[in-house]
Amino acid sequence: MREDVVFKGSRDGLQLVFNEAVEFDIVMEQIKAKLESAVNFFTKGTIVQMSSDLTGFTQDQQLELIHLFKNYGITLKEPPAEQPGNPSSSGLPSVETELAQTLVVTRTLRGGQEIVHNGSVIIMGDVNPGAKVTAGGDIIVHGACRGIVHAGFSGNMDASITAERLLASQIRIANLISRAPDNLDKPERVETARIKDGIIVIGPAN
Amino acid sequence: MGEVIVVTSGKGGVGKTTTTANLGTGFALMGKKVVLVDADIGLRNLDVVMGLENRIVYDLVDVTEGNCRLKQALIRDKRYETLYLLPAAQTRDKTAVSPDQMRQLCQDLVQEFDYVIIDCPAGIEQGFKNAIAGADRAVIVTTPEVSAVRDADRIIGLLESEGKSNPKLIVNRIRPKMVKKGDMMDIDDIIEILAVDLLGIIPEDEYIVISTNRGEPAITNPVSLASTAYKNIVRRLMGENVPLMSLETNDGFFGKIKKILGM
Amino acid sequence: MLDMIMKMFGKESAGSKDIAKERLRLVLVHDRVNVSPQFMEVLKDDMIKVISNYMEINEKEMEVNLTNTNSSVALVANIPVQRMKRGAQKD
Repeated sequence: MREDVVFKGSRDGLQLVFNEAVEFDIVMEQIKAKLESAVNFFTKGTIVQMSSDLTGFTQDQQLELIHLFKNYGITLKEPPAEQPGNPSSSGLPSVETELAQTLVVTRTLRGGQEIVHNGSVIIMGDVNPGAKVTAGGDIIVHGACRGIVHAGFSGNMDASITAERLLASQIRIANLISRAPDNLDKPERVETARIKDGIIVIGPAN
Repeated sequence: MGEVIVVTSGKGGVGKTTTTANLGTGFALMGKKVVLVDADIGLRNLDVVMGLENRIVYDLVDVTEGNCRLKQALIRDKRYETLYLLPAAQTRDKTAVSPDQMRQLCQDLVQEFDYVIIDCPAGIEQGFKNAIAGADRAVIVTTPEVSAVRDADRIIGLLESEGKSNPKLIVNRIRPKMVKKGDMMDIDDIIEILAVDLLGIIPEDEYIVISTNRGEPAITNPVSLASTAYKNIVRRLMGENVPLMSLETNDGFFGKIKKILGM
Repeated sequence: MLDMIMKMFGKESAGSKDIAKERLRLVLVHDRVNVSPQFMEVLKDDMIKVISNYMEINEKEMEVNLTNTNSSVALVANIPVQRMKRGAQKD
Protein backbone atom coordinates (compact mmCIF):
# COMPACT_ATOMS: atom_id res chain seq x y z
CA MET A 1 0.00 0.00 0.00
CA ARG A 2 1.25 3.44 -0.81
CA GLU A 3 1.49 5.68 2.17
CA ASP A 4 -0.50 8.79 1.50
CA VAL A 5 -0.75 9.60 5.19
CA VAL A 6 2.25 10.02 7.46
CA PHE A 7 2.63 11.05 11.07
CA LYS A 8 5.83 12.95 11.47
CA GLY A 9 7.56 13.84 14.68
CA SER A 10 9.06 17.27 14.23
CA ARG A 11 10.24 19.96 16.56
CA ASP A 12 6.75 21.33 16.57
CA GLY A 13 5.29 18.08 17.86
CA LEU A 14 3.44 15.38 15.98
CA GLN A 15 2.37 16.42 12.54
CA LEU A 16 -0.15 14.91 10.20
CA VAL A 17 0.99 15.12 6.60
CA PHE A 18 -0.91 13.74 3.66
CA ASN A 19 -0.73 13.60 -0.07
CA GLU A 20 -2.85 16.45 -1.39
CA ALA A 21 -3.44 14.68 -4.67
CA VAL A 22 -5.39 11.92 -2.97
CA GLU A 23 -9.14 12.02 -2.42
CA PHE A 24 -10.52 12.83 0.99
CA ASP A 25 -12.19 9.43 1.44
CA ILE A 26 -8.92 7.61 0.85
CA VAL A 27 -7.11 9.86 3.27
CA MET A 28 -9.75 9.21 5.92
CA GLU A 29 -9.50 5.47 5.36
CA GLN A 30 -5.73 5.45 5.72
CA ILE A 31 -5.81 7.61 8.83
CA LYS A 32 -8.35 5.26 10.35
CA ALA A 33 -6.15 2.26 9.58
CA LYS A 34 -3.13 3.99 11.09
CA LEU A 35 -4.89 5.00 14.26
CA GLU A 36 -6.34 1.53 14.60
CA SER A 37 -2.95 -0.17 14.21
CA ALA A 38 -1.19 2.21 16.55
CA VAL A 39 -3.84 2.48 19.22
CA ASN A 40 -1.26 1.91 21.94
CA PHE A 41 1.04 4.60 20.67
CA PHE A 42 -1.40 7.45 20.39
CA THR A 43 -2.54 7.68 23.98
CA LYS A 44 -5.41 9.84 25.06
CA GLY A 45 -4.43 13.49 25.24
CA THR A 46 -1.99 13.31 22.34
CA ILE A 47 -2.04 16.39 20.22
CA VAL A 48 -1.53 16.13 16.47
CA GLN A 49 -1.00 19.15 14.34
CA MET A 50 -2.32 19.36 10.82
CA SER A 51 0.39 20.27 8.40
CA SER A 52 -0.29 23.62 6.78
CA ASP A 53 -0.26 22.38 3.20
CA LEU A 54 -3.44 20.42 3.74
CA THR A 55 -6.05 23.09 4.16
CA GLY A 56 -7.40 22.40 0.70
CA PHE A 57 -10.34 20.50 2.20
CA THR A 58 -13.76 21.96 2.81
CA GLN A 59 -14.95 23.04 6.23
CA ASP A 60 -17.14 19.92 6.51
CA GLN A 61 -14.29 17.60 5.63
CA GLN A 62 -12.03 19.24 8.19
CA LEU A 63 -14.69 18.79 10.86
CA GLU A 64 -15.06 15.15 9.91
CA LEU A 65 -11.31 14.73 10.28
CA ILE A 66 -11.28 16.34 13.73
CA HIS A 67 -14.12 14.06 14.84
CA LEU A 68 -12.27 10.98 13.66
CA PHE A 69 -9.29 11.88 15.84
CA LYS A 70 -11.58 12.73 18.75
CA ASN A 71 -12.92 9.16 18.67
CA TYR A 72 -9.41 8.01 19.51
CA GLY A 73 -8.96 10.64 22.19
CA ILE A 74 -6.59 12.68 20.08
CA THR A 75 -6.84 16.41 19.59
CA LEU A 76 -6.24 17.57 16.04
CA LYS A 77 -4.97 21.12 15.92
CA GLU A 78 -4.93 23.54 13.04
CA PRO A 79 -1.47 24.52 11.87
CA PRO A 80 0.09 27.42 13.75
CA ALA A 81 -0.22 30.76 12.00
CA GLU A 82 2.93 31.71 10.15
CA GLN A 83 4.64 34.27 12.32
CA PRO A 84 8.29 34.40 11.43
CA GLY A 85 10.46 35.78 14.21
CA ASN A 86 8.08 34.83 16.95
CA PRO A 87 9.67 31.92 18.82
CA SER A 88 6.60 31.04 20.88
CA SER A 89 4.68 29.97 17.78
CA SER A 90 7.27 27.41 16.74
CA GLY A 91 6.62 24.87 19.48
CA LEU A 92 3.68 23.38 21.26
CA PRO A 93 2.78 25.33 24.35
CA SER A 94 4.82 23.78 27.15
CA VAL A 95 1.78 23.36 29.40
CA GLU A 96 0.27 20.93 26.92
CA THR A 97 3.48 18.90 26.73
CA GLU A 98 3.43 18.46 30.49
CA LEU A 99 -0.20 17.43 30.40
CA ALA A 100 0.60 14.56 28.05
CA GLN A 101 0.59 11.30 29.93
CA THR A 102 3.50 8.99 30.45
CA LEU A 103 3.42 5.94 28.23
CA VAL A 104 4.50 2.63 29.74
CA VAL A 105 5.58 -0.04 27.27
CA THR A 106 5.81 -3.48 28.83
CA ARG A 107 7.77 -5.32 26.19
CA THR A 108 11.08 -5.30 24.35
CA LEU A 109 11.21 -3.10 21.25
CA ARG A 110 12.79 -4.93 18.36
CA GLY A 111 14.54 -3.58 15.29
CA GLY A 112 12.12 -1.70 13.05
CA GLN A 113 9.61 -0.99 15.81
CA GLU A 114 9.00 2.61 16.65
CA ILE A 115 7.26 4.46 19.44
CA VAL A 116 6.26 8.09 19.11
CA HIS A 117 4.66 9.73 22.11
CA ASN A 118 4.14 13.30 23.21
CA GLY A 119 4.82 12.72 26.91
CA SER A 120 7.47 10.66 28.67
CA VAL A 121 8.02 7.01 27.81
CA ILE A 122 8.98 4.19 30.17
CA ILE A 123 10.03 0.90 28.61
CA MET A 124 9.97 -2.23 30.73
CA GLY A 125 12.26 -4.22 28.47
CA ASP A 126 15.10 -3.64 26.03
CA VAL A 127 15.34 -1.29 23.08
CA ASN A 128 17.09 -3.36 20.42
CA PRO A 129 19.30 -2.06 17.60
CA GLY A 130 17.19 -0.51 14.85
CA ALA A 131 14.28 0.28 17.20
CA LYS A 132 13.39 3.91 17.79
CA VAL A 133 11.76 5.74 20.66
CA THR A 134 10.69 9.35 20.19
CA ALA A 135 9.25 11.11 23.23
CA GLY A 136 8.18 14.65 24.02
CA GLY A 137 9.40 14.18 27.57
CA ASP A 138 11.91 11.84 29.22
CA ILE A 139 12.74 8.27 28.24
CA ILE A 140 13.45 5.61 30.82
CA VAL A 141 14.51 2.11 29.77
CA HIS A 142 14.43 -0.67 32.35
CA GLY A 143 16.74 -2.85 30.35
CA ALA A 144 19.42 -2.45 27.71
CA CYS A 145 19.04 0.46 25.34
CA ARG A 146 20.78 -0.27 22.02
CA GLY A 147 18.52 1.52 19.54
CA ILE A 148 17.90 5.15 18.75
CA VAL A 149 16.32 7.24 21.50
CA HIS A 150 15.06 10.79 21.07
CA ALA A 151 13.80 12.63 24.16
CA GLY A 152 12.21 16.05 24.18
CA PHE A 153 11.68 15.95 20.41
CA SER A 154 9.48 19.05 20.48
CA GLY A 155 12.40 21.12 21.68
CA ASN A 156 12.47 20.31 25.40
CA MET A 157 16.14 20.82 26.35
CA ASP A 158 15.51 19.57 29.90
CA ALA A 159 14.47 16.10 28.78
CA SER A 160 16.69 13.19 29.80
CA ILE A 161 17.29 9.58 28.85
CA THR A 162 17.93 6.98 31.51
CA ALA A 163 18.70 3.31 30.97
CA GLU A 164 19.90 0.42 33.06
CA ARG A 165 22.42 -0.25 30.35
CA LEU A 166 22.79 2.74 28.09
CA LEU A 167 24.35 1.33 24.90
CA ALA A 168 22.33 3.41 22.46
CA SER A 169 23.81 3.80 18.98
CA GLN A 170 22.45 7.32 18.93
CA ILE A 171 21.07 9.63 21.57
CA ARG A 172 19.01 12.63 20.59
CA ILE A 173 17.70 15.24 22.99
CA ALA A 174 15.69 18.15 21.61
CA ASN A 175 17.60 19.09 18.43
CA LEU A 176 20.98 17.66 19.49
CA ILE A 177 22.37 14.36 18.26
CA SER A 178 25.26 12.39 19.67
CA ARG A 179 26.42 8.99 18.58
CA ALA A 180 28.14 6.28 20.55
CA PRO A 181 31.92 6.09 20.29
CA ASP A 182 33.12 3.26 18.06
CA ASN A 183 34.52 1.38 21.04
CA LEU A 184 31.82 1.59 23.64
CA ASP A 185 32.63 0.43 27.15
CA LYS A 186 29.96 -1.63 28.81
CA PRO A 187 28.22 0.52 31.42
CA GLU A 188 28.08 -1.10 34.83
CA ARG A 189 25.37 1.01 36.35
CA VAL A 190 22.30 3.01 35.49
CA GLU A 191 23.19 6.03 33.42
CA THR A 192 21.42 9.19 32.36
CA ALA A 193 21.96 11.37 29.32
CA ARG A 194 20.99 15.04 29.45
CA ILE A 195 21.99 18.34 27.93
CA LYS A 196 24.70 20.26 29.76
CA ASP A 197 26.20 23.45 28.32
CA GLY A 198 24.77 22.74 24.89
CA ILE A 199 26.06 19.18 24.52
CA ILE A 200 24.70 15.78 25.47
CA VAL A 201 26.47 14.42 28.54
CA ILE A 202 26.14 10.91 29.95
CA GLY A 203 26.65 10.31 33.64
CA PRO A 204 25.51 8.10 36.50
CA ALA A 205 21.82 8.42 37.25
CA ASN A 206 20.92 10.13 40.47
CA MET B 1 28.92 10.67 -15.07
CA GLY B 2 29.30 7.51 -13.06
CA GLU B 3 27.86 4.05 -13.36
CA VAL B 4 25.14 2.26 -11.37
CA ILE B 5 25.81 -1.40 -10.52
CA VAL B 6 23.24 -3.56 -8.73
CA VAL B 7 24.38 -6.58 -6.70
CA THR B 8 21.63 -9.20 -6.70
CA SER B 9 21.10 -12.95 -6.28
CA GLY B 10 17.51 -14.02 -5.74
CA LYS B 11 18.40 -16.30 -2.87
CA GLY B 12 19.22 -14.83 0.49
CA GLY B 13 22.40 -15.46 2.42
CA VAL B 14 24.74 -15.94 -0.53
CA GLY B 15 26.80 -12.84 0.24
CA LYS B 16 25.23 -9.88 -1.56
CA THR B 17 25.79 -7.44 1.28
CA THR B 18 29.34 -8.63 1.95
CA THR B 19 30.08 -8.36 -1.77
CA THR B 20 28.60 -4.86 -1.97
CA ALA B 21 30.65 -3.70 1.02
CA ASN B 22 33.87 -5.18 -0.34
CA LEU B 23 33.44 -3.97 -3.92
CA GLY B 24 32.61 -0.47 -2.66
CA THR B 25 35.64 -0.39 -0.41
CA GLY B 26 37.71 -1.76 -3.30
CA PHE B 27 36.68 1.09 -5.60
CA ALA B 28 37.55 3.56 -2.83
CA LEU B 29 40.97 1.89 -2.49
CA MET B 30 41.46 2.58 -6.20
CA GLY B 31 40.74 6.23 -5.54
CA LYS B 32 37.23 6.23 -6.97
CA LYS B 33 34.30 8.11 -5.46
CA VAL B 34 31.71 5.49 -4.49
CA VAL B 35 28.33 5.36 -2.79
CA LEU B 36 26.76 2.17 -1.49
CA VAL B 37 22.97 2.15 -1.48
CA ASP B 38 21.17 -0.28 0.82
CA ALA B 39 17.93 -1.06 -1.01
CA ASP B 40 16.82 -3.65 1.55
CA ILE B 41 14.24 -1.42 3.18
CA GLY B 42 12.99 -2.76 6.50
CA LEU B 43 15.92 -5.16 6.91
CA ARG B 44 18.95 -2.96 6.65
CA ASN B 45 22.33 -4.65 7.06
CA LEU B 46 24.91 -2.86 4.99
CA ASP B 47 25.41 -0.27 7.75
CA VAL B 48 26.52 -2.93 10.26
CA VAL B 49 28.78 -4.68 7.76
CA MET B 50 30.44 -1.31 7.10
CA GLY B 51 30.53 -0.47 10.82
CA LEU B 52 28.56 2.74 10.32
CA GLU B 53 25.36 1.82 12.14
CA ASN B 54 25.61 4.46 14.83
CA ARG B 55 25.98 7.35 12.40
CA ILE B 56 22.62 7.03 10.70
CA VAL B 57 20.35 10.03 11.06
CA TYR B 58 18.44 10.02 7.79
CA ASP B 59 17.84 7.17 5.36
CA LEU B 60 16.82 6.38 1.79
CA VAL B 61 13.11 6.79 2.49
CA ASP B 62 13.73 10.18 4.11
CA VAL B 63 15.36 11.20 0.83
CA THR B 64 12.61 9.90 -1.47
CA GLU B 65 9.91 11.41 0.75
CA GLY B 66 11.69 14.75 0.87
CA ASN B 67 12.29 14.81 4.64
CA CYS B 68 15.92 15.68 4.02
CA ARG B 69 18.32 16.52 1.22
CA LEU B 70 20.25 13.69 -0.43
CA LYS B 71 23.57 14.99 0.92
CA GLN B 72 22.27 14.95 4.50
CA ALA B 73 21.53 11.24 4.30
CA LEU B 74 24.92 10.19 2.91
CA ILE B 75 27.27 8.81 5.58
CA ARG B 76 30.96 9.03 4.97
CA ASP B 77 33.01 5.94 5.74
CA LYS B 78 35.30 5.90 8.77
CA ARG B 79 38.40 4.92 6.82
CA TYR B 80 38.00 6.06 3.24
CA GLU B 81 37.17 9.62 2.32
CA THR B 82 35.67 8.80 -1.07
CA LEU B 83 33.34 6.07 0.24
CA TYR B 84 29.76 6.85 1.27
CA LEU B 85 26.71 4.90 2.41
CA LEU B 86 23.04 5.65 1.84
CA PRO B 87 21.34 3.47 4.47
CA ALA B 88 17.93 1.80 4.15
CA ALA B 89 15.06 2.69 6.43
CA GLN B 90 14.51 0.20 9.21
CA THR B 91 11.02 1.19 10.33
CA ARG B 92 9.37 0.96 6.90
CA ASP B 93 8.96 -1.68 4.20
CA LYS B 94 9.63 -2.19 0.49
CA THR B 95 6.45 -0.38 -0.54
CA ALA B 96 7.75 2.91 0.85
CA VAL B 97 9.75 3.40 -2.38
CA SER B 98 8.79 3.04 -6.05
CA PRO B 99 10.99 2.03 -9.02
CA ASP B 100 10.56 5.55 -10.43
CA GLN B 101 11.87 7.09 -7.21
CA MET B 102 14.85 4.73 -7.26
CA ARG B 103 15.57 5.62 -10.89
CA GLN B 104 15.56 9.31 -9.98
CA LEU B 105 17.78 8.68 -6.96
CA CYS B 106 20.33 6.82 -9.08
CA GLN B 107 20.30 9.62 -11.65
CA ASP B 108 21.07 12.11 -8.88
CA LEU B 109 23.84 9.96 -7.41
CA VAL B 110 25.73 9.31 -10.66
CA GLN B 111 26.18 13.05 -11.06
CA GLU B 112 28.37 13.02 -7.94
CA PHE B 113 29.92 9.57 -7.84
CA ASP B 114 32.05 7.38 -10.11
CA TYR B 115 30.25 4.25 -8.93
CA VAL B 116 26.85 3.71 -7.32
CA ILE B 117 26.56 0.19 -5.94
CA ILE B 118 23.11 -1.03 -4.93
CA ASP B 119 22.67 -3.86 -2.45
CA CYS B 120 19.50 -5.62 -3.62
CA PRO B 121 17.23 -7.45 -1.16
CA ALA B 122 16.62 -11.20 -1.55
CA GLY B 123 13.51 -12.23 -3.45
CA ILE B 124 11.90 -11.14 -6.69
CA GLU B 125 9.19 -8.83 -5.39
CA GLN B 126 9.02 -5.07 -5.19
CA GLY B 127 12.32 -4.68 -3.32
CA PHE B 128 14.09 -6.38 -6.22
CA LYS B 129 12.24 -4.28 -8.80
CA ASN B 130 13.16 -1.11 -6.91
CA ALA B 131 16.81 -2.09 -6.62
CA ILE B 132 17.32 -2.87 -10.31
CA ALA B 133 15.25 0.05 -11.64
CA GLY B 134 18.10 2.53 -11.92
CA ALA B 135 20.96 0.13 -12.59
CA ASP B 136 23.18 0.29 -15.67
CA ARG B 137 24.51 -3.21 -15.10
CA ALA B 138 23.97 -6.14 -12.79
CA VAL B 139 26.29 -8.38 -10.82
CA ILE B 140 24.80 -11.69 -9.72
CA VAL B 141 26.16 -13.44 -6.66
CA THR B 142 25.68 -17.18 -6.28
CA THR B 143 27.21 -20.03 -4.31
CA PRO B 144 28.01 -23.51 -5.65
CA GLU B 145 24.73 -24.90 -4.34
CA VAL B 146 21.78 -26.19 -6.31
CA SER B 147 19.35 -23.78 -4.66
CA ALA B 148 21.47 -20.67 -5.17
CA VAL B 149 22.25 -21.47 -8.82
CA ARG B 150 18.61 -22.13 -9.56
CA ASP B 151 17.61 -18.77 -8.09
CA ALA B 152 20.41 -17.06 -10.00
CA ASP B 153 18.95 -18.50 -13.22
CA ARG B 154 15.55 -17.04 -12.37
CA ILE B 155 17.09 -13.65 -11.62
CA ILE B 156 18.97 -13.63 -14.93
CA GLY B 157 15.65 -14.25 -16.69
CA LEU B 158 13.93 -11.46 -14.77
CA LEU B 159 16.77 -9.03 -15.46
CA GLU B 160 16.50 -9.83 -19.17
CA SER B 161 12.77 -9.16 -19.18
CA GLU B 162 13.50 -5.78 -17.57
CA GLY B 163 15.90 -4.98 -20.39
CA LYS B 164 19.06 -5.51 -18.30
CA SER B 165 20.93 -8.07 -20.32
CA ASN B 166 24.41 -9.48 -19.97
CA PRO B 167 24.75 -9.64 -16.17
CA LYS B 168 28.07 -10.78 -14.71
CA LEU B 169 28.43 -13.64 -12.25
CA ILE B 170 30.37 -13.88 -8.99
CA VAL B 171 30.64 -17.37 -7.51
CA ASN B 172 31.03 -16.98 -3.78
CA ARG B 173 32.20 -19.41 -1.08
CA ILE B 174 34.02 -21.86 -3.30
CA ARG B 175 35.85 -24.51 -1.27
CA PRO B 176 38.74 -25.73 -3.41
CA LYS B 177 39.16 -28.93 -1.40
CA MET B 178 35.53 -29.94 -1.84
CA VAL B 179 35.68 -29.09 -5.55
CA LYS B 180 38.73 -31.29 -5.86
CA LYS B 181 36.98 -34.18 -4.17
CA GLY B 182 34.07 -33.76 -6.54
CA ASP B 183 31.73 -32.79 -3.75
CA MET B 184 31.13 -29.26 -4.93
CA MET B 185 30.16 -27.94 -8.34
CA ASP B 186 33.09 -26.18 -9.93
CA ILE B 187 33.07 -22.89 -11.81
CA ASP B 188 32.82 -24.56 -15.22
CA ASP B 189 29.73 -26.48 -14.15
CA ILE B 190 28.00 -23.33 -12.97
CA ILE B 191 28.96 -21.22 -15.96
CA GLU B 192 27.86 -23.98 -18.33
CA ILE B 193 24.44 -24.10 -16.71
CA LEU B 194 23.84 -20.37 -16.36
CA ALA B 195 25.52 -19.29 -19.62
CA VAL B 196 26.68 -15.88 -18.37
CA ASP B 197 30.07 -14.20 -18.12
CA LEU B 198 32.13 -14.92 -15.04
CA LEU B 199 33.26 -11.85 -13.13
CA GLY B 200 35.13 -13.62 -10.37
CA ILE B 201 35.40 -16.33 -7.77
CA ILE B 202 35.52 -15.76 -4.03
CA PRO B 203 36.97 -18.60 -1.95
CA GLU B 204 35.32 -19.54 1.32
CA ASP B 205 37.13 -17.50 3.93
CA GLU B 206 36.69 -17.52 7.68
CA TYR B 207 38.01 -14.02 7.79
CA ILE B 208 34.73 -12.78 6.27
CA VAL B 209 32.97 -13.65 9.54
CA ILE B 210 35.64 -11.89 11.57
CA SER B 211 35.55 -8.80 9.40
CA THR B 212 31.75 -8.63 9.59
CA ASN B 213 31.99 -8.92 13.39
CA ARG B 214 34.32 -5.95 13.37
CA GLY B 215 32.46 -3.94 10.76
CA GLU B 216 35.51 -3.71 8.49
CA PRO B 217 35.24 -5.16 4.97
CA ALA B 218 37.67 -8.05 4.42
CA ILE B 219 39.19 -6.46 1.31
CA THR B 220 41.19 -4.13 3.56
CA ASN B 221 42.98 -7.09 5.15
CA PRO B 222 45.81 -8.54 3.05
CA VAL B 223 45.75 -11.79 5.08
CA SER B 224 42.24 -12.55 3.89
CA LEU B 225 41.94 -14.96 0.96
CA ALA B 226 38.84 -13.20 -0.24
CA SER B 227 40.62 -9.86 -0.28
CA THR B 228 42.66 -10.56 -3.43
CA ALA B 229 39.62 -12.05 -5.12
CA TYR B 230 37.56 -8.92 -4.43
CA LYS B 231 40.37 -6.65 -5.57
CA ASN B 232 40.54 -8.53 -8.87
CA ILE B 233 36.80 -8.18 -9.36
CA VAL B 234 37.00 -4.43 -8.76
CA ARG B 235 39.70 -4.12 -11.41
CA ARG B 236 37.65 -6.19 -13.86
CA LEU B 237 34.64 -3.95 -13.25
CA MET B 238 36.87 -0.99 -14.06
CA GLY B 239 37.63 -2.59 -17.41
CA GLU B 240 41.00 -4.22 -16.71
CA ASN B 241 41.76 -7.71 -17.92
CA VAL B 242 42.77 -9.65 -14.80
CA PRO B 243 43.25 -13.42 -15.05
CA LEU B 244 41.36 -15.66 -12.62
CA MET B 245 43.43 -16.49 -9.59
CA SER B 246 44.39 -20.04 -8.87
CA LEU B 247 42.46 -21.66 -6.09
CA GLU B 248 44.90 -24.52 -5.60
CA THR B 249 45.61 -24.84 -1.91
CA ASN B 250 47.12 -27.68 0.01
CA ASP B 251 47.01 -30.25 -2.71
CA GLY B 252 48.89 -33.01 -1.00
CA PHE B 253 51.31 -35.33 -2.72
CA PHE B 254 49.29 -36.17 -5.83
CA GLY B 255 48.28 -32.61 -6.40
CA LYS B 256 51.91 -31.64 -6.50
CA ILE B 257 52.75 -34.37 -8.99
CA LYS B 258 49.84 -33.26 -11.13
CA LYS B 259 51.09 -29.70 -11.03
CA ILE B 260 54.64 -30.70 -11.93
CA LEU B 261 53.31 -32.70 -14.87
CA GLY B 262 51.24 -29.71 -15.85
CA MET B 263 47.93 -31.48 -15.59
CA MET C 1 48.00 -43.12 -16.38
CA LEU C 2 47.99 -40.90 -13.36
CA ASP C 3 44.25 -41.28 -13.19
CA MET C 4 44.74 -45.00 -12.85
CA ILE C 5 47.10 -44.52 -9.94
CA MET C 6 44.59 -42.14 -8.45
CA LYS C 7 41.91 -44.80 -8.80
CA MET C 8 44.08 -47.36 -7.11
CA PHE C 9 44.47 -45.07 -4.18
CA GLY C 10 40.73 -44.58 -3.98
CA LYS C 11 40.85 -40.99 -5.15
CA GLU C 12 38.32 -41.53 -7.94
CA SER C 13 35.67 -38.86 -7.67
CA ALA C 14 32.58 -40.45 -6.25
CA GLY C 15 31.52 -36.97 -5.24
CA SER C 16 28.10 -35.43 -5.06
CA LYS C 17 28.77 -32.62 -7.50
CA ASP C 18 27.58 -34.65 -10.48
CA ILE C 19 24.35 -35.37 -8.67
CA ALA C 20 23.97 -31.65 -7.95
CA LYS C 21 24.65 -30.72 -11.55
CA GLU C 22 22.21 -33.24 -12.95
CA ARG C 23 19.44 -32.27 -10.55
CA LEU C 24 20.02 -28.62 -11.29
CA ARG C 25 19.83 -29.20 -15.03
CA LEU C 26 16.48 -30.95 -14.67
CA VAL C 27 15.05 -28.33 -12.38
CA LEU C 28 16.10 -25.57 -14.75
CA VAL C 29 14.52 -27.23 -17.78
CA HIS C 30 11.30 -27.19 -15.82
CA ASP C 31 11.78 -23.68 -14.42
CA ARG C 32 12.63 -22.12 -17.74
CA VAL C 33 9.57 -23.62 -19.41
CA ASN C 34 7.31 -23.01 -16.46
CA VAL C 35 8.03 -19.33 -16.59
CA SER C 36 5.56 -18.72 -19.41
CA PRO C 37 2.12 -20.30 -19.69
CA GLN C 38 1.99 -18.68 -23.13
CA PHE C 39 4.72 -21.06 -24.23
CA MET C 40 2.45 -24.05 -23.64
CA GLU C 41 -0.39 -22.36 -25.54
CA VAL C 42 1.80 -21.67 -28.55
CA LEU C 43 3.09 -25.25 -28.49
CA LYS C 44 -0.46 -26.58 -28.27
CA ASP C 45 -1.62 -24.49 -31.22
CA ASP C 46 1.29 -25.68 -33.35
CA MET C 47 0.58 -29.30 -32.45
CA ILE C 48 -3.08 -28.90 -33.41
CA LYS C 49 -2.06 -27.45 -36.76
CA VAL C 50 0.21 -30.37 -37.59
CA ILE C 51 -2.07 -33.14 -36.32
CA SER C 52 -5.11 -31.67 -38.09
CA ASN C 53 -3.47 -32.53 -41.40
CA TYR C 54 -3.87 -36.21 -40.55
CA MET C 55 -6.83 -36.54 -38.22
CA GLU C 56 -9.69 -34.70 -36.61
CA ILE C 57 -9.12 -34.14 -32.95
CA ASN C 58 -11.12 -32.74 -30.04
CA GLU C 59 -9.25 -29.55 -29.34
CA LYS C 60 -11.19 -28.75 -26.20
CA GLU C 61 -10.33 -32.01 -24.49
CA MET C 62 -6.71 -31.89 -25.54
CA GLU C 63 -4.16 -31.75 -22.74
CA VAL C 64 -0.47 -30.93 -23.08
CA ASN C 65 1.75 -30.91 -20.03
CA LEU C 66 5.32 -31.18 -18.96
CA THR C 67 5.81 -33.80 -16.30
CA ASN C 68 8.80 -34.27 -14.11
CA THR C 69 9.83 -37.80 -13.31
CA ASN C 70 12.85 -38.74 -11.26
CA SER C 71 15.26 -38.81 -14.13
CA SER C 72 13.74 -36.75 -16.91
CA VAL C 73 11.29 -34.12 -17.97
CA ALA C 74 8.69 -35.38 -20.46
CA LEU C 75 6.15 -33.71 -22.69
CA VAL C 76 2.90 -35.62 -22.22
CA ALA C 77 0.02 -34.98 -24.60
CA ASN C 78 -3.44 -36.48 -24.35
CA ILE C 79 -5.24 -35.86 -27.64
CA PRO C 80 -8.68 -37.45 -28.20
CA VAL C 81 -8.94 -38.48 -31.88
CA GLN C 82 -12.41 -38.13 -33.41
CA ARG C 83 -11.77 -39.51 -36.87
CA MET C 84 -8.94 -40.18 -39.28
CA LYS C 85 -8.77 -38.14 -42.44
CA ARG C 86 -9.23 -40.21 -45.63
CA GLY C 87 -6.60 -38.51 -47.73
CA ALA C 88 -3.98 -39.01 -45.11
CA GLN C 89 -4.75 -42.71 -44.63
CA LYS C 90 -4.12 -43.65 -48.24
CA ASP C 91 -0.56 -42.36 -48.30
